[in-house]
Amino acid sequence: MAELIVNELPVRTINKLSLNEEKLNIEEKSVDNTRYNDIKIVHMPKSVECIKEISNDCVVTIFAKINEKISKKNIEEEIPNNSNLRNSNQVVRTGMGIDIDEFFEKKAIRSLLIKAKENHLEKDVVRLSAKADEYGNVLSRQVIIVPDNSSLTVIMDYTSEDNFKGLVGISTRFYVGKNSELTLIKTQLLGNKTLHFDDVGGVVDDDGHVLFKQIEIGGQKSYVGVYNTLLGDRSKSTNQTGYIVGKDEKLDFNYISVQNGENTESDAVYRGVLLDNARKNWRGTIDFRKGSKDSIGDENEDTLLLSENVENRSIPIILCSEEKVDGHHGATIGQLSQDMLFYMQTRGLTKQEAGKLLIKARIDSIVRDIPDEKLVKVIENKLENIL
Amino acid sequence: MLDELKESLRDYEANSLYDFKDEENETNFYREKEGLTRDIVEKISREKEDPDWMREFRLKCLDIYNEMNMPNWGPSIEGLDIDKISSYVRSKSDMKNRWEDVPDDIKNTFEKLGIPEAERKSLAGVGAQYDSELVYHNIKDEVARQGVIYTDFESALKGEYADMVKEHFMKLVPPTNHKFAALHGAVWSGGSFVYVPKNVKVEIPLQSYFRLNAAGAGQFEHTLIIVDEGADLHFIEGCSAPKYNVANLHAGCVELFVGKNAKLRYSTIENWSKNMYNLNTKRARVEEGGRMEWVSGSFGSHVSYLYPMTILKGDNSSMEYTGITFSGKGQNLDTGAKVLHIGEGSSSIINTKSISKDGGIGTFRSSVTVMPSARKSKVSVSCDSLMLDSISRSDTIPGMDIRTNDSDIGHEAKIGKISDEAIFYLMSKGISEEDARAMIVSGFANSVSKELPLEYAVEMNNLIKLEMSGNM
Repeated sequence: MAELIVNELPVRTINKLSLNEEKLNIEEKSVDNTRYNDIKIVHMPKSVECIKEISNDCVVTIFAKINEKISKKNIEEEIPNNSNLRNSNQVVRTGMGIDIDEFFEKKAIRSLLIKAKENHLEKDVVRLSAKADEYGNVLSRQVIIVPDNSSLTVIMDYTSEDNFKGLVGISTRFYVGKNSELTLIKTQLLGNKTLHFDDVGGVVDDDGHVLFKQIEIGGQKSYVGVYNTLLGDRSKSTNQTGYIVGKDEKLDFNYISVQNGENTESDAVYRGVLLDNARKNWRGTIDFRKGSKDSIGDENEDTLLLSENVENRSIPIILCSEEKVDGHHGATIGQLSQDMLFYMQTRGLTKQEAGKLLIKARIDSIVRDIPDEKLVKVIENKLENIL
Repeated sequence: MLDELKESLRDYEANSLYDFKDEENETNFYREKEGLTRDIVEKISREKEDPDWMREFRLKCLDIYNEMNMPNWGPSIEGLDIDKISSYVRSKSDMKNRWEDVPDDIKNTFEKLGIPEAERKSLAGVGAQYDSELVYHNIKDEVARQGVIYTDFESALKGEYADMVKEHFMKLVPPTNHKFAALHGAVWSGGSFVYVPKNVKVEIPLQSYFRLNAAGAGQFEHTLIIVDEGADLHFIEGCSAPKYNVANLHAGCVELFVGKNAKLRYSTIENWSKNMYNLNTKRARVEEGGRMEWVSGSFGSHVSYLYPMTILKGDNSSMEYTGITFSGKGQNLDTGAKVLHIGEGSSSIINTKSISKDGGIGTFRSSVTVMPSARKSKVSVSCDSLMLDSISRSDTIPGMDIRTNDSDIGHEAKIGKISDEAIFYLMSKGISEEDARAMIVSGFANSVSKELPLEYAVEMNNLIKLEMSGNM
């Protein structure tokens, strides 16, 4: 059994809340004695360079200049009050942290490099798919590079057979160059016996934008960590997350947005539903570093609790060492609006139908503009089955 | 108006309102040696003529203290060396109930702090603690006639209410809660006991004031308030100390029991000196239909850990926490609130303001837990932070643990700067930039000051003005 410490808060808080970090236990036999596969490349546009199995040294080289720039900006300034600084040795800081890097290194898993050409503006998307089944678990790492003045969309979906007791572990690291845009879409539709982790981290340069869209519907235990470093001036991150957790499933999130450049903007929306005996931990941090003047950070969490037995833990953090910023967090946690349900019933729907429609609307608002109709259909079917 | 404001600032500076000290020597003061050992704890216990159970309790707490680790979160307390802290310092004069009988030097201190005047004007009773012991305690006759008990803690421990004290002492804050709760259990001294009988409404507030005058000392007062069914009380706590170059420690403990349909308001203006480690623990338990209100202003201390906790045990019980923290140069103030919802239909409101300036670090930290039994409960948390420069720091760390679907939870946090437009507008009316900023900050703090009795709101506004002018 490998025990990894993941999803650490950037600053520690009251231990009784059980949110400082999470333990991720991976049964060694699931990754040693059975096969594990890399993510499958379903479609790779010709204009996008793709190199399989690059080494960690190579990743270090790719990020060397970027990390030099980060050091120059002195963004690794010490956060007071017992911060978690363990992650500072990572090549690219990620939401789940250094234990995931070490786990992949131990398993000798190399990375898939996906690199758009400079000035690449094609709308054709990179399409990756991970399926865990009797032929193996999935352990996969990717490095996505979007050079200056380019845009790239990468869509990844994760599935597994129902009742398949396995692992889908993913690590995605990215760099978005000047005046560039990365749209990263991940949909997790795993069976309810599969263990899942998804570790994301990247850096956005001047006028760059990363849009991260994520759907989490499935998996027995899912751990997700995202760390966006808005290094460049006017850089921007947009996070849109939709999730449904049911049965005895557990979902553990850690989102961190570090704002370094001037005039940066982070905007995040998290919408989800907890059913049955579901447990969810959500950590969201906006970190305004010194020098991030005129930056804006906004995060909104909206959670529906639809069973008496659910457990929901949330910690929305704002860290700030810059005067001229504007940070905001809002959270609503509770039941479906009775007024809305009543209104819909007056329009001829049963209470159950109305409830279902409202839940679907929450996830649909995040799913609807995914540029892959087939995948949207699959998500809708999965939603229908759950509800 | 601005001239008056400047005038009052000058007055405050000239009088050094909080930062004045009296010489303490062996003739008029007893001082326990520095450090924390079994001998010292036993000596304090003997000195205070503790009942046996208390002596044993103190020693048990010492063991717990020695076993427990320092907190692994929050501001650094590396500068606090318990081996350099004297945990017991007292005047050789006994506690009095007439100011005329209090030794002159101590009386003058409280005169400067305005306590006797406040007692005459607007309080139902006053307790004044100087270092480790109370030097003055009094309650107005008409309030005493209502059956209200307001006494120093040592008297309560041995008097008519001894059983009640034993039943409640450190039951809400057990010594295992954290290392400094255990320390408090081992060396506590001073503090107040209040009992408000059933259906008695105390119309004007009671106040305890804690002054730590000695350098390199700790203050560990214990406040126990029991507000019985249907009763109503407003209790005010004030604290200050002169500044020294060595660390001082405050690890007090406040336990509040609010009965069925009773109401307690607990207001604090804390202005410890900036060499103080303020590691205070406050906790309230509220029964059915009861209401707990906290009003808290934190201005002083070098380091603070302060999160008053409310346990909403009874159905339809409620709490409201209104707090402001002003972190200036050399300060790391970690403040907030905790609430545990157990009762059905319980509700809580946490509303805080935080201001950071001149390199100060202000952290709002909270914990809201809603248990499965707390159906139909409501929670609203709102924290606003204001950064006044780029060398300061302001963090917001609110945690929530919700275990029932039948509750409404709302949380909102904002962080920002003073609007340039607002400053420009005020300056266009002939107000200097400095004054404009001070006025805006006072307005920002208004939601807290309006919750305080007038005299204390004035004191709080003066503290804000002093902080804004950087003269504290």
